[in-house]
Amino acid sequence: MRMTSDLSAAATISPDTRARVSDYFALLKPRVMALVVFTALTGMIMAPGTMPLALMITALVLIAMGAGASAALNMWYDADIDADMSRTMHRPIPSGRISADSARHFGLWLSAGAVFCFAMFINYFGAALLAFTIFFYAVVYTIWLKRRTPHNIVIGGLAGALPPLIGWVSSGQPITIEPLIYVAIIFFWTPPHFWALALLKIDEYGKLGIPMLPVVAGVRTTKLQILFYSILMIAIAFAPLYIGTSGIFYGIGVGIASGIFLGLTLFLIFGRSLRRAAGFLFGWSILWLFLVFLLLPLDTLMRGGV
Amino acid sequence: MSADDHLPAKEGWTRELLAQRRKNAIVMALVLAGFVVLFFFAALARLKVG
Repeated sequence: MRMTSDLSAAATISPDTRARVSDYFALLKPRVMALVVFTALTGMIMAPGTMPLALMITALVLIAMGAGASAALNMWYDADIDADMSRTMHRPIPSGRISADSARHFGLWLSAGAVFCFAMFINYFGAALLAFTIFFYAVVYTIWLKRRTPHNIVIGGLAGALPPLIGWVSSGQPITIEPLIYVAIIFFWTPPHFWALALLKIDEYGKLGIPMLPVVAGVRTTKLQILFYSILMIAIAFAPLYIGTSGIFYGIGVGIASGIFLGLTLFLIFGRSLRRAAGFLFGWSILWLFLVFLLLPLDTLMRGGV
Repeated sequence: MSADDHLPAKEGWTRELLAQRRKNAIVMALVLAGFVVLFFFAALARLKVG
């Protein structure tokens, strides 16, 4: 009897351990990680040839680890400003649940693990690209650009844009124009997405001295820049149609989703409620990216590919 | 000039703490850059052998 209760006590995870695991999981920015994994999966599926399922799953887990590692390193460095923003003040480091040093060690070890395992199980070039993506997000964006220039998220957006290319490279196929178009779609999507958020949080960024575009150049310029990048993003989203790798199903889907995107951008420019319009655009931008990267393989599947 | 110098001083973030963070950031940047270089050269080497 006693042995049974000892065993069940050992098998039960204490609330403290569960809370600690959940705090470390929060360091990985799971929602961003989900979008990264999803776009990488599209890159893998769209690459010619077939990839063994086990290899695909391994590559996706390692890409998720890499994305999570760079998020942990970003949270380590940004702990000082995160503490003063309503959106980020409850993160594990500013709220004191995880120490900054633990987060840095966790991020670095996770980066090393993800990159070395990628090299061992997938390929060297993919490992190099994964390492470059982590470096670009943690060092170039977080440490170098974020607090210095209003172009921070434009240049830094490259880190978030690379996962479809890593996915493509995982399959062992040479790089063609196709994965570069996927990278360009996310690269030009990033500014409208983040500037919509920056418009919502303009006062907090201003108070902290973070040079986001609305703080430095004003609301009107930011709205026009959002329109400019949205037009570029939509034009590039149609590129798979021009080069013939996607068909009419993709074209109609992207056309409708992009029409709504442009409509919301115009609502932001001409509408009366800045907060409402920026909130709508921010939300739709996430859905738009998800739809585009879902339509790409679906369209190929409908035309008898994949 | 560091990226933090123009920002308002945060509570509890002393100069020493910021200097320590800068030092850690440099080490982290070097380690990550090392991974990039190592695996790009490994990929190149494999390409040549292949």
